[in-house]
Amino acid sequence: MRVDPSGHLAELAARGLLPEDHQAVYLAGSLVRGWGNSGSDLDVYVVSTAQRTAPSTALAPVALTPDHVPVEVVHVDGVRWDIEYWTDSQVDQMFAKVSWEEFDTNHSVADLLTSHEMDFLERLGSAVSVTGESWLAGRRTQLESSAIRSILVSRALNLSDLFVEDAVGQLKAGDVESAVLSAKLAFGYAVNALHVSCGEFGHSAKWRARRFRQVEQTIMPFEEYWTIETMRGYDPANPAAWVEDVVLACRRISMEVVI
Amino acid sequence: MEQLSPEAVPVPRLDVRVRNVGGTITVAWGESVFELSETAGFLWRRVDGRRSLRELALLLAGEYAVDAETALLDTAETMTALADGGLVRLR
Repeated sequence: MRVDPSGHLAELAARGLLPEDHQAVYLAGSLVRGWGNSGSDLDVYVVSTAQRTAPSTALAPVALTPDHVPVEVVHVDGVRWDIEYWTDSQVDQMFAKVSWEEFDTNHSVADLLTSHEMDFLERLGSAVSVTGESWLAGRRTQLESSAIRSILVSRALNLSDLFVEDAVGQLKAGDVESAVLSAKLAFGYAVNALHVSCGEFGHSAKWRARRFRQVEQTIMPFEEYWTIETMRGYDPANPAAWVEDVVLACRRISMEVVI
Repeated sequence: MEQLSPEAVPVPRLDVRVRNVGGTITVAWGESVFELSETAGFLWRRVDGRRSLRELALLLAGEYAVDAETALLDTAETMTALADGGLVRLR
């Protein structure tokens, strides 16, 4: 199921949801990627010079100035549209956070990004322009030359390491069930790192298999990934062996993913 | 350096941290951090808890066209350093 962006601008304007000073409007998310289904939402991004001041359905917190993003929710032909109103200045501030200078001096730079900011940056790459194509193209170029890839790979590998340490400690303590859960989490983050290194920035676990199909890499074949993800090799009589195999798979990914 | 048996098998710790920064492998555990040379990185990739020092040295000799004796010395030296840092156990 894919989205045709024609008509979206008129729909927004007709509902009084299109600011006059808009610089770009684009669509993103699973529907745009062709991963959606009949229950999927459409993510609509509107970027303007000034912040939208009209009353909004919700305000999403961001660590920027202004410190929130107005969000409108409407239903169009049975599809829920989540419309986020960003300012161009907020986008500039996000890019400043993912600069190489930041990455070189602050190893926790990913922590500076809120989940909304992360989603915004992740979705730029696969967004479909409604208007302001040159704005979107320019921001994509900026994203490519930023440190976002290294920042997100480092973050995912650090999280994977933390859960590996947990899994190993739990195994040693005889807490095998917890070790299994920790190993599963470690593997998820390691695979996220692999995907980010290939330019797939999404972090939602539900799309991990989709992202795996999307990327071209030689570190781990899909079948091996899917065997671990679905715990096909898990033997209830010997859970520790599964944990060790998964930890080794995490280490292999850590070794081959280039930061 | 203590003489190691060529049949000794290096077994890496499960919770070793590994990073590949622009092709250079760094391994760490606790406060021990090693930035591996190209040949040490080659060896690390092949340390699987089953291959002995002799077998690792043969792979190294084949890859870098060095004689077996030199390769074994290099392999033993690398694994001793990693073992001293707690990153591998020699079995």
